[in-house]
Amino acid sequence: MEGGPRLFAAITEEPHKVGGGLPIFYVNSSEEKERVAAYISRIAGGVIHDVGNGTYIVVIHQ
Amino acid sequence: MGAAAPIIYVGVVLLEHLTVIAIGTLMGSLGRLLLLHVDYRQYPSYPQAYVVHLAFGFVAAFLGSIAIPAIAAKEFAAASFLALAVTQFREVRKIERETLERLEKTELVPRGTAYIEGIAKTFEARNYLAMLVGLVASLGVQVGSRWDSPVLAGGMGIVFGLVTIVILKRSITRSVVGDIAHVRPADIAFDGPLLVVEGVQLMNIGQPEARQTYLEQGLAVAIVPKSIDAKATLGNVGQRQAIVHDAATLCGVRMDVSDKEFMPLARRDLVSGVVALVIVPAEKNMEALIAAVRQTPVLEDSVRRPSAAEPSKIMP
Repeated sequence: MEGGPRLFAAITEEPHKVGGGLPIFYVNSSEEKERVAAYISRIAGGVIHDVGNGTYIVVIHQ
Repeated sequence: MGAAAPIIYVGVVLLEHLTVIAIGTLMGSLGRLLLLHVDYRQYPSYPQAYVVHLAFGFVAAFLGSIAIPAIAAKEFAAASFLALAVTQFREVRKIERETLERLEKTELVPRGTAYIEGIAKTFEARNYLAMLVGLVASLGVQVGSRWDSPVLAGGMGIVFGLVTIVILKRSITRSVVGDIAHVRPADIAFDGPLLVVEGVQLMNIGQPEARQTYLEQGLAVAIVPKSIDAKATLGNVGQRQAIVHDAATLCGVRMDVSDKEFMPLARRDLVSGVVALVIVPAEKNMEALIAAVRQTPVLEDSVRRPSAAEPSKIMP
């Protein structure tokens, strides 16, 4: 439970909807979004969450 | 009086009361051995941790069985050894806790601190039990020695010891989740990316393949508390983590360190207190999962009894 979840990256099809101080990956299709998210979550040991507006986030649950 | 005085007393007492101490130590060690069993938890691990606990049990039994002869010989200083033993056994608890906390990082599904604390406490308590059995058995020999027959006295000690072991073994048995709650199968559904069981939202699963895996391979149960006390007990985070850990240990879990989306979870319904548990087991078998959840011990530190207090009686 220490530390809590940490937002690691955002993968989005909608560039204007995501911003801020985390790695953002812009993609062109939902297939590409799923693939990129899967790769990143593998690397970071995180979980992919769907925030519903065409964006996935990868969160590391400690 | 020098520091060696108690040790000299112990030496004198030992020679005079060899039978008393031998029987007491034997019965106490036997008691510890009977309380030590490898089950699905594989803890204590066999054979190394067995040696550690049996050795501690032997020392505890020995110290327990020395008390009666010491008091009989009016050597009260030697009886103070019991106080020393208590300090030592508290150390046992600390060691157990530290070991398990260190191992926690290597567990796919962690035990949680409440479970660890419960296990550590059990090990400390069992040493006291070994000591108590040793004490009662030696008391039996002491009482039996009035009949001038060593066999009869020894027999008396063994009977006293066995009776104590049986009583203690019965009285320290903890209740299990099956005693305080009904466990029944539940359905897994998705509301968009949200994994929902029994109306409880457990997790946001972004990956469509992961959702498919949950729908095809996942199992869910609803743990319905039988009383207001059970509701409060199951609300404890440590208790729920213990259930999840045991379910994952017994049914297996289809995940590795990088598959955090398949981490089994137990979340509660805020209104009813029903706990929804979801897991992707190694083998999909609902009966096995229900049995695993039912047999999880109710942790001593998570037990709550609001029904015993005034406010719960005022509530409708």
